[in-house]
Amino acid sequence: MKAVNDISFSVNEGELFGFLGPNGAGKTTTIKMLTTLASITQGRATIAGHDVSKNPDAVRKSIGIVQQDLTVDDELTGTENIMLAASLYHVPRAAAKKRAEELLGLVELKDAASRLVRTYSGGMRKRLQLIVGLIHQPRLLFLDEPTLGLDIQTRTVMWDHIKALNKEQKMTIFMTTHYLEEADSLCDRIAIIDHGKIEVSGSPQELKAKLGGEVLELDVADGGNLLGFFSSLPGVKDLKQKGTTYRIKLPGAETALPGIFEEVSRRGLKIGRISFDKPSLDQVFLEVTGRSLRDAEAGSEDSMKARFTGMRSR
Amino acid sequence: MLAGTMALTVRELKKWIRTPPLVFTALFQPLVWLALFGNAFNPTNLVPNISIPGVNLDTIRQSILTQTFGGAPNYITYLTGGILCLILMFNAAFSGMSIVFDRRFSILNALLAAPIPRTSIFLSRVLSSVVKGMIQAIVIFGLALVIPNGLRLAPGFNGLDLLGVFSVMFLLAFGFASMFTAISIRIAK
Ligand SMILES: Nc1ncnc2c1ncn2[C@@H]1O[C@H](COP(=O)(O)OP(=O)(O)OP(=O)(O)O)[C@@H](O)[C@H]1O
Ligand SMILES: [Mg+2]
Repeated sequence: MKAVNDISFSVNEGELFGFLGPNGAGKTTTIKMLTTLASITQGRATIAGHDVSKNPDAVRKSIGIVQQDLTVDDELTGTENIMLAASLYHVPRAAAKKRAEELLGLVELKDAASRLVRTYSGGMRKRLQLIVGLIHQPRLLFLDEPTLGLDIQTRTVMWDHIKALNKEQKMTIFMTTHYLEEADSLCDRIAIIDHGKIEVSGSPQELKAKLGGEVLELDVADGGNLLGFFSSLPGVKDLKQKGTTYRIKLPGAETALPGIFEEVSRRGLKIGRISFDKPSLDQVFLEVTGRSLRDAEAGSEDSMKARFTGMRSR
Repeated sequence: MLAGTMALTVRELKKWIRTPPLVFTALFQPLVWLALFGNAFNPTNLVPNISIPGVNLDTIRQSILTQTFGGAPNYITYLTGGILCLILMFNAAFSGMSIVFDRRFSILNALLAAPIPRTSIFLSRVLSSVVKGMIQAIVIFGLALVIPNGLRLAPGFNGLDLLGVFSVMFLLAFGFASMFTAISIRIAK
């Protein structure tokens, strides 16, 4: 079976790169290949100048990873999990302790830090896993759905932190997410993958612009023919008229609006209603990947894991 | 290499100590063997406790031990060596299994992506298993010494001999642990 088939992309140093796609698209598989956890059967990947297949040790030294699955140890406390990661990533003890404090504060786990992770809620585990992945400061950080299952507060805090890591510490970040507003506000560039192939890539603005701009709907009271005027606007697309309602797709509608108002009032007409739809990444995503739901099997391993955990704790 | 191995070994041992039932069974089980088998299988018990004029039953008992058990002064002394070996083996088998669980819970994956030699993941399993095994072995050795009619050391047994005994146990524990860890990695795959 081919989970990922013939993909090609590059992420520049210092970039915050978003990797989007429906369930089972191959995002996690791609990350596993890039982080040396799965072998590449065909083709080549280079990370920080090192070939992933030929020099996995060097690659592991330059990356950090927060996996989609829970990787924190149930039977250790929060602090112990962090400190274990610190020694695995060769962070000096004193520095690790200081940083652990900071990170625990960041996700508000200070009070729970000395409790066994077994007693944490799902979101707390996820938060812990995130900061465990941040204890060393790698050049390149992989985040596989870092905010999945987190509440809005924590998610906002994490966004700020991810942004800060990227901007202040110049960390290159490769992340996947299903929250498109997250990708939109965080990522410099995104790629959408489906059925193991990259469908589009570019900055969120570029991709949204490809949709052809904002959708503008105007009700102009007592008619008047504005078709000619609208079609003369630069970049306009999909002009439609239905009675007194005009519908147009217009890139840069925000700056064009004042001009439209002026023209309408110059002709002595009145606008009865106006609606304005900004193109969203959601629309881009649906356009690229279609609307059908993806194989249910994508989630099956997680549910098996959940069953297994349940079985064990009984 | 060392730092990673140490950290992972300590993790394993912490988890072990935090599960009192595991520690308890680990220490209690061999004690039961010692007490139970030490009495039930003791062949000198077959010689009845009666007095026959002109026959020294103790000499008979002694010669049973000399002939069958390589001259051990009593049955428990003979048994202890075997029990120590079994303990080391069972412990290694049990510790080795934990790698199967780790893989399922994707913890192993997190380790595999870390910049530590993969040897140290393996080595930490082996080492923690050895430590557990040696703790059990030492406790059993001590208990066997203090129970009535228990382990009797040969005359002239000195510190160097003791060191020898424990070195052999260590090697045995290391061998078993490596073997079972390797096997369970295979199974987990
Ligand atoms: N260990 C595995 N064995 C067999 N098939 C697998 C395995 N892991 C993933 N797959 C398959 O590979 C495909 C891609 O999976 P992947 O986990 O990369 O998806 P994803 O994009 O991360 O999806 P999600 O958004 O659900 O996390 C899926 O069809 C999945 O069923
Ligand atoms: Mg995934």
